[in-house]
Amino acid sequence: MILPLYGFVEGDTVGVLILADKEESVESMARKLRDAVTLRVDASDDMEVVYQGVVLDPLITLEQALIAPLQRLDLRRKNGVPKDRKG
Amino acid sequence: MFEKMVTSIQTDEARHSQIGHPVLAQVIKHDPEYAQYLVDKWFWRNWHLFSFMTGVSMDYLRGSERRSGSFKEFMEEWIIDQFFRTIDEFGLKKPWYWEIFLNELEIYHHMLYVSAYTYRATLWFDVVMPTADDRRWLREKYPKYWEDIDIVWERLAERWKKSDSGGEGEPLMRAAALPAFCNLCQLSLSAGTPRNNTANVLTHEGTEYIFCSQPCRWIFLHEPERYAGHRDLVKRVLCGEAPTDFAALVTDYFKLTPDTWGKDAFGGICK
Repeated sequence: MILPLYGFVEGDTVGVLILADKEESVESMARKLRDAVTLRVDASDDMEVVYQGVVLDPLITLEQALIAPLQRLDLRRKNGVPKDRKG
Repeated sequence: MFEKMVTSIQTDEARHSQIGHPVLAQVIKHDPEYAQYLVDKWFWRNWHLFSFMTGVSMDYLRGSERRSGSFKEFMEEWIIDQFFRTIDEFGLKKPWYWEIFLNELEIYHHMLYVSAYTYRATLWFDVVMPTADDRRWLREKYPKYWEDIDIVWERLAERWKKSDSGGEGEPLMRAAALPAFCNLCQLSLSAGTPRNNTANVLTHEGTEYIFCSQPCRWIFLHEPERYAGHRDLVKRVLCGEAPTDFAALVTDYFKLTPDTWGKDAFGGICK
């Protein structure tokens, strides 16, 4: 099932719409987001997905992470945001 | 014909500027709180449009030989001073978001322009990359955040160098993901800084909205019935009215063609 999300990559100048799938992993969605902004930003691999202030486990699905449609997701450089969100 | 048109615009705008003060005086007389709200709301809404239209034109689209000052300097001299005099005269306060506005004055139109540059196929006019001299001038005029913007221009310049020559390089140089827009000002989500974009989501009566900034959210929440029904591009895509594929969106939905869509006027200045 399609899950539209607003994606923001640290270093970028605009938010983009990402059409993800509820069953896809956080890592896969992050790849889509990276590809979407690659023209403007070098989003290297040492970045993590942050949702509502918490870093997401890259291996869980977006559904497991309890991400609702049209929410904001951030791809940020690793900087010590607490990694305690399972879902 | 052109002279008559300019004269007509001039007299029309002169009338508008003369109406403003008496109308504001009347509103203050009857409801000063509402008058403050209207001033706060419309200063912000005008600021965002003005920043894109005039800020971009002044700092990017006129040749360096024609530049006398920056958009920020123009705002400080001609807009902010006069605005303060007016609100003082009427006993109004500075808008609550003044610090946010001052911060945006340093960066907002730069965020918009570099984003628009990468989405130029959606524009009806050509754009240009700032030259090395332009970037030096912009760094001098906007020292607070320029480094965060310049790194994006640098990446675009590098991409141009690696692309094919002339117009053939264009397709590789345009963004392909759908940009997202503020549900209040309808401009792209380009407020804040590249390190900290200030977009924020709101659930209102079961529907999700996103705003580029706190003032846009604040205006929406004052009059949700006025703005909630607007179907922006994202909503049109999600309900199937517009295609999800960016290229199809530009050609099939916007009906733009390679002849009419915006390009880099010089095929990438850094080549």
